[in-house]
Amino acid sequence: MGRQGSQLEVSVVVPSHERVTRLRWLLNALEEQTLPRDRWELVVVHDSTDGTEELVETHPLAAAGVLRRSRLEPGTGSASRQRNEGWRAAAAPLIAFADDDVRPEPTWLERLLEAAKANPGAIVQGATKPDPYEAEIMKWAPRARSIEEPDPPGPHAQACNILYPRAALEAVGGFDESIRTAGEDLDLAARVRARGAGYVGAPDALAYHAVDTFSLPGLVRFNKRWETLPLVFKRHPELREQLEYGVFWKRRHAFLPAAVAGVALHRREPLLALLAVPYVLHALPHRGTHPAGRVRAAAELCGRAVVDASEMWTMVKGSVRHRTLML
Amino acid sequence: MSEPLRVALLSPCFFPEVRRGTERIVRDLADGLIERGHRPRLITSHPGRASRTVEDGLPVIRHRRLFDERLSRRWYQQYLTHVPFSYASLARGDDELAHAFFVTDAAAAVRWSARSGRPSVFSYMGLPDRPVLADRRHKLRLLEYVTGGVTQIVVLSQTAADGMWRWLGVRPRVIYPGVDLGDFTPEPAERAPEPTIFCAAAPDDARKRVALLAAAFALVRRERPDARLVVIRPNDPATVRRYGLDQDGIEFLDPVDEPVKLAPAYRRAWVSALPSYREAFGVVLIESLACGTPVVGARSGAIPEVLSSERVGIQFDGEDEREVARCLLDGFELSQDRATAGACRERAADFSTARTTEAHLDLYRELLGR
Repeated sequence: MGRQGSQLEVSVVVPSHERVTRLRWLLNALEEQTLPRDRWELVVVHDSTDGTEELVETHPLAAAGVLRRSRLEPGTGSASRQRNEGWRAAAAPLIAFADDDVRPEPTWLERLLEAAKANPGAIVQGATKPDPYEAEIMKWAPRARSIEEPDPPGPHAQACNILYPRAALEAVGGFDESIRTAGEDLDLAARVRARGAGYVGAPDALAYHAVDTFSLPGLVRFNKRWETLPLVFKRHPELREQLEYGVFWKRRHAFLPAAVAGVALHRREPLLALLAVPYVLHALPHRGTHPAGRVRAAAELCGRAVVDASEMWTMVKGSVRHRTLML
Repeated sequence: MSEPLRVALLSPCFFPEVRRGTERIVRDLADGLIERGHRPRLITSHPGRASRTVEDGLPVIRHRRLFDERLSRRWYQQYLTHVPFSYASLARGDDELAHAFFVTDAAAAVRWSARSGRPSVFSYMGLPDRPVLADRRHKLRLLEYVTGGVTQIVVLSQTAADGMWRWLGVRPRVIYPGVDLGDFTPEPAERAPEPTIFCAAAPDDARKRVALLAAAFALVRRERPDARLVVIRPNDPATVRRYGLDQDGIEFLDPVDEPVKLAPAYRRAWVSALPSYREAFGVVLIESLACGTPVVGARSGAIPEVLSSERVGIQFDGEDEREVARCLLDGFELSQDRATAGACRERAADFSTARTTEAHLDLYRELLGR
């Protein structure tokens, strides 16, 4: 049972899917929050089969009456659906969303709440940085991925570390559950802001995001999730300011077609190879000035081009599907 | 006697390549099993050519470990490339049980266990804590695979067991490592006439906090100008100045291959010091206690578990050199108490290699139903 009768100020909502260890680390971090426990609650919504249910049953936060859980049919959830289930079950007037692969600092919730009180009715985004315990992986792995938003509010309004007034969520109906894979957080923020809500940052509300590494085929498969992004930009044309030249998701994407053309045609006309220069300048990783480092950077550049091409292909498919243009 | 147990021990490194705590524990366990008539064999790796030898009665298969440094520089989990070969050796053998001492070897043991239906054991040799559980590529994935598939996990202390539960949700069995009490014995006549502190920790490892000890020692010298501090000579000469080890009264002992060679240093000392944090156990504590020498240690990791009584050691909190100095001076006084050496030896007896071997045998028999 929740603590509806008490003076809860903020509910933390965490969607989770098959990430029991990371979720455990998040719960451990929440256990160390400086905000007194009678002022907040935690709602975990998951559709996992990996021991998550046992974790949320037995974690000390559950015994302390802080943690409530909701379990969906295994494999039926999405981040949007789980977050919606979570905030609708929550009891506080403020809803802080955290993902199951972040690790907030002990003062995270306290700082987020302070910013929310200083800006009534506003969306409050906390700062997110790659987990320093995994920083070396981020530095050295060619296909490492994390979330970095050190100076909020950022353009993407990632839901891994953000707070919404409950009233704002109710007004727009929460996350759009038809956006299952990516961009649902940006879409929600755009809809809430369109109703006049403010959007502020709380740089001291710091959470660390896990670093994931991928094989090249693995990252190409992972990139398929971005197919819903063109839909978000179609719905919210004002967001196109974030895109390069109003169309390209990333600056590298703008340079990639010319680079591919230059490489393909340089045998006919060697000068055409210069078409690849802008892309190389933007995409070449920095691996030091040692010859081995340069060879490595060149090898990684090829992999990066493959990843960029896969992202662009996903954007093309999304653009066709949603009848808009984003590359 | 019952039928001898056939146990495959798996460790990525072994003597003479590396002689750290894990390699010593593996060697001691193998010796204990052989002494009791069992048939362990060791599957390990090294940078050289693959080989099969018998070393002091222990069959040792060494596979070649390729690209290790290169992969390590790219922040992959260490000791990966020998694992398929170790698995192949397991699959070809007739072992009843596989016992791995590193997560990559444990992955091979888990796979072998799943295919053969025989039990596997994974000894986690460190202190499971958030900073070290996902600090290399594939490490967390490997840990999850191993902890989810291995028959039994073993850790070195209750502190490590608590960490395993808090960070990985696993309840392991605690088997304390042991020390050969015959090698480390008290000899009161050998005690140095001047107050002497011995620190057996490797100074190059920042976690050992030898710099803190050096700063505290400078304060101790104000009270006891005749005091001496004996530390292991750092591998990096720059460490001497960086850690303040270039002051009067500090002496260096060259690193030794065999820990037993440190026994005289423990006996000469009035107190041993272990200022490290995040120690999963601290075998050097037991070596010191076995020699009748009390210990000054940090109240961190498993050190409080070993120094369970004020009769055998003094603990300090934090990083204040004044606090450490006060504890060292108290340690000098404790060492003058006639009952201290006996109490230290008594505590060390709880951690003998014989007890450790028996604890492992109990576990193996339990898993094998014998």
